[in-house]
Amino acid sequence: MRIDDLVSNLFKNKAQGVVISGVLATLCVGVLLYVTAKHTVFADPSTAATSRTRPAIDSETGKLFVDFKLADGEAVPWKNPSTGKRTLFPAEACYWNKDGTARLDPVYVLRNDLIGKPGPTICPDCGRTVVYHNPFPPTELMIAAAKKSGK
Amino acid sequence: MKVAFYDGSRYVGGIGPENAPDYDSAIDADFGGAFGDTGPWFLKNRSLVRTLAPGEGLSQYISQFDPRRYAFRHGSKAARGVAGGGPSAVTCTGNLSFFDGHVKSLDDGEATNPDLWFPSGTKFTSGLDTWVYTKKAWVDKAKRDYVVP
Repeated sequence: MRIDDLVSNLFKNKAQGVVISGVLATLCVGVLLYVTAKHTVFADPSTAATSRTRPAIDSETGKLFVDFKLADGEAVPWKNPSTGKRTLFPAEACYWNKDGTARLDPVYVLRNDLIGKPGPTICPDCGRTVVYHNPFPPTELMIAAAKKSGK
Repeated sequence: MKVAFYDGSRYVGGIGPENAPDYDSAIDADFGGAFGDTGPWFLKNRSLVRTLAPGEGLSQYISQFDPRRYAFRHGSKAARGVAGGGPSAVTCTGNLSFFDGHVKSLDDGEATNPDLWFPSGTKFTSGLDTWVYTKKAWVDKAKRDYVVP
């Protein structure tokens, strides 16, 4: 049976068949696009990929790489892709302001102990001591910071 | 029945890219060593960080990678009931293995039930330092003088 005949049998007239077929085809394409986009462009970031991402800071230039991707088997110091030198160290984030409030965008700091510098690491912005896995401010302060920034 | 093992992540200090899973293998590790965690009932546990879970306060303000996904990696479903948190909020599913050998999949909120973690007969001498979810879902279990069955 030809498509034309099938359409003629299914619908009262050819025009109606064409319209309904067009709508169905559009719906199918829409669903296909939605499913594809959901699993590609709008997909959640991969947990594995995210776990291999660190903020890194160059001990010589001070340049910050917020989303530095770690390669398998890499050890600190990591290789700076710009200079080719192994001068990249994990950066600590400080979410404090000088007045004791919190901030949403952290100041990234290079720890002294990583580069053999004596003494505690001090955040250049707020003056607090920065340590390995620097503690996050309390949730209430972060919420206050978010409200203040209008987020 | 109590939990022996569960799908916890390595040490996660909080949110943000600087807090991807990490560990210190030293015997006197300063953080995230080779040994156990408290279990997810504790607000400051580092194996299932629920800071960005719906209803915990920060989720409505901060959109970053949700660290629950480092721990509970067996899918997610829309958050309902106690979890709340809006139409896009989700709970993450993970597996808990019990001392009698059975394994159960629970979402990240359900897994914080204190009864699963504390030895039977434990009596809380102060309120539990736990999540908003836990306090809402099991009002009495987060309070002083609760005796764990």
